[in-house]
Formats: sequence, C-alpha cells, structure tokens
Amino acid sequence: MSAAQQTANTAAAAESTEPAKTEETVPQLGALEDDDEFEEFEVQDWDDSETDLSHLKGAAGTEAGVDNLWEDNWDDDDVEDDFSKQLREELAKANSAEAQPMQH
Amino acid sequence: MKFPRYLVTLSNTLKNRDSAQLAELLRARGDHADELLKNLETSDREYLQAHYGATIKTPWNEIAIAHVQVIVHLMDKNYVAAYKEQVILAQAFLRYIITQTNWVITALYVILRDLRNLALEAVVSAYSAGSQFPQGMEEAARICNKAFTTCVTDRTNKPEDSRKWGTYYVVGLVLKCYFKVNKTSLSRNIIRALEANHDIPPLEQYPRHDQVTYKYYLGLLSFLNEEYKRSEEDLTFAFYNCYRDAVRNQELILTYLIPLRLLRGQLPSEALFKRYPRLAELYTPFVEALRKSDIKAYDAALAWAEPRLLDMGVWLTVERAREICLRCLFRKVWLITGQGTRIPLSTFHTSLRVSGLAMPIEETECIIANMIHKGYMKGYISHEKQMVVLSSKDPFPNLGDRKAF
Repeated sequence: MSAAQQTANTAAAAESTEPAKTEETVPQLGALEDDDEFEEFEVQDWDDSETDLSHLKGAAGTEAGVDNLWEDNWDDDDVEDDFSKQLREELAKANSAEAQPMQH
Repeated sequence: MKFPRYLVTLSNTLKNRDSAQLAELLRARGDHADELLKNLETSDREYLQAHYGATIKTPWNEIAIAHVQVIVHLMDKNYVAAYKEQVILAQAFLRYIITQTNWVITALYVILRDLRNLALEAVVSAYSAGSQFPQGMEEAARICNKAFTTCVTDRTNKPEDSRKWGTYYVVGLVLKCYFKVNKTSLSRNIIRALEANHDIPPLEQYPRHDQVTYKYYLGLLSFLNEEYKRSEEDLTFAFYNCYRDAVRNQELILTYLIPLRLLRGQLPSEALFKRYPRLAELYTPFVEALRKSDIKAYDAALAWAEPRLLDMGVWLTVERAREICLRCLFRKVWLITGQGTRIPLSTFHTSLRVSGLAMPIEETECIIANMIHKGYMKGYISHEKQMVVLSSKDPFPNLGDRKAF
C-alpha cells in the first residue's frame, strides 16, 4: 500500500467516524481560574441602601421573589412554539399508528 | 523607624488604646512594616531581647520581637519561617487580650488574617520547593479557634465593650481555613459551639461584614449536605445583605443560589444576568432549556458546562433541576392533548422520544411515578391500562408551592 493510499484510507476512516467525534469535541466550558474564596469586604458595615435589599419590594430578606432579579411565573400555556408544534405532530403520528396498527 | 522607637510607639498606642494604630503596627506588610525594616539594625532575637526586652511590658516584648522576625523573613521570602514567627506573635497576643476589652479586636483580625495568609504562602512555597508543610492551615485554624474561645468567653467586660463582638468575624476566618484545605466537615464543631452559646449578641447586631460572611459559609455547608431549604435561606440572606460593590462575593453567593432557585422553579432574570455576565454565560443555556421544556438542550448544557459545574461543586444540583425540565415537558403534553385527566403512558413515552430520550416504556412509567412521588404531578398510574390518571384540579402544581424540596 502506497503512502498516498494510506493517507486516503486514514482520511476515509476519519470521515466515517466523524459524527461521533464532533459530538465529543464540542468545546466545554472550562473551570474558572479565579480563587473561589469569599473575599474580605473592604468595609465592615453598610446600610440597606448599599445592598440589594433596597430593590426588594416585600419584607426584607425573607421572600425574594419580589424584585426584578427572579422570575416566578414563567409557566406559560403557550403551545405554539416550534417544539410544541413538533411534539403535537409526533403525538398525532404515534396516535394514528396506534389506531391503525395493521395498515403497514 | 528604629526598633526602640517602634517600642515607644507601641507603648503609647497601648496606653491610648488606639485600635487602628495598634492594628497598623502589627501588620505583616505595608508602610509601617517597610519603614521598620528599613531602619532595623539587627533582627537577632537574643540581642533584641537582651537590649530592649525590659523596656516594654510582657508579652509585648515577645510580640514586638516576633513581629520583627516576621517582616525580615518575609523580605527574604522565607514564608515558612515567617509563618512560624506569626504563630508565636498570635499566641502571645491571645494571652494579652484575655484581660482586654473589644478595643483589641481590630488588631486581632489583622493578626489572624496575616497568620492565615502566611500559612497559605508557606504551604505553597514548601510545595514548590518539593517539600511539604502540612500542619500550616490546620494549625492556623486551631489558633483562630482559640481566638474564638477568647472572644466568646469574655465574662468580665460590659456588653458594649465585650470581646464577644469579635466572635463572628473570627468564626468566618476559621471557616475560610477549613474550606481552603477541604476540611469542611470540621466546620461543624465551631458552628455547633456557636449555636449552643446563648451568651453572645444575636447575629443581626454584628456588622454586616460578619453576618454576610457567616451566612455564606453556613449556606455553603448546607448546600454540600444537600439541605437545600436551609441553604437557600442562608444564601438569600447573604445575597440581599451583601455589599453591592462586592461583585465577586455576590457572584459566589449566586453560583449556589441560582441552582437552588431553579429547583424551586424560580429563574434568574435578564436583569440578574446583565449584572453578572459570567453567571449568565454559565446558566443561560439551562434557563433557556427550562423555558422551552427542552430536555435535549438541558442535557447538552450539562455536558457542555460539566467541568465548571464540577469545579464549583454545583453539578449535582443543576443535574437535579433537570426534573423541572421533565415536569415542563409533561405539562406541555397535558396542554397539547387538551388538558384531560387520562393520558396514555405511551403519549408521555413519545414526548420523551421526541426530546431525544428513547427508552423502554417501563422506564417512562418509572419516570412518571417518580415525578408523581416528588410532587411535580398529581395523579396516579394505572399499570394494567398503561394510563396516567391526572388530578382534575391542578395536576401540575406551581413549582414554588411544591412541598417536597
């Protein structure tokens, strides 16, 4: 086998395993280099106005769902998004297949 | 500043009980240390003790001489030796403060902080020199523990002057030591001692610095023990009381708080992500997958972020929040099929297959049973009829109302 042939073969082999490979080589989110220690504050004490408490509308610190940093009610009844449409189609398909099992 | 001059300054500071000045005079690094070093004739311990030992009362001669050794060793980059001298200094200082009010706690903080930092530097430098310095951090933690006892057991001073005001700051340092060397289980002891003590002022009367640091570590410990409810309470407190400019600390708190909130169906908002871009980078794919009930995307995000999630110790919790995604998918199935109370198992089975999770129908049944058990769905499975019978009222309870956490 010539060197050129060998290269071609290797390339072909590489091609055939490609799909699996690309999945493995999706770049991952690496660890951060930072020190993960809680830092010493530059000041000893501070007022509410210098904290996120000042943005809270409800009782201080207890239930935090009342500022703009968190979303509680994101459960929507919207089923017109792409995924829902696909899901509806697939469910219909599966249904009809089940209803007429002898057809194919 | 020459050494005799240093001793005089020290004596006056003690006499005037000048907290800030005392702390400055004992700091291992900084202007004062540089100044002292520049004019130092000798650092020979015997010489200094013989010539100047009697000019200042015990244990201040011992403290001052140890301080000189620390700064000289630091100049020579001999961190192990500097650390050992700081141990001597700290122990002598702890003997001194037993008779003092809380005017000494600022200096105590500086000494213990230096002790801890020097222990770290000693460990690192020993390691890079091919040797080891294993006692370092744990010994530092022990000395901080002793300081804790000295603060907590102040029975002589009036409440407002009590060393008890140093308690939570010192506890924060002890916890930092344990976390640094991954001996988090040792933290239990000091927290237990603290919780058993009803003689100290309530936490909310301490400076916010101490409150937030303590709550952060408390929350982190509960997080590691999977006590999610407690953890969320403590971390929520820490976040909302944190100094707004301490962005890195807020980021650290949120690193753990976000997955806890996800588990309760609370999503971080755009506004939150805008303030913390690195958290946005990490958690946005998960939040988007949840919004779209897209398990495939959630699993892809898990694979993609795995190194960072593991590094930060949150992998398990984020993986657990995948259940929220399942719940949203099943709710979607319920919506699409007309919100009936009887849905064949095969329908859920298909929805999982469409999501890229092909599995035997038995496994689907198992997943549904699990979701019902955990309170994500209300209803039961009729195994014979292969049917999921959902509650006619509120079959997918609001995530925040779910009792099991």
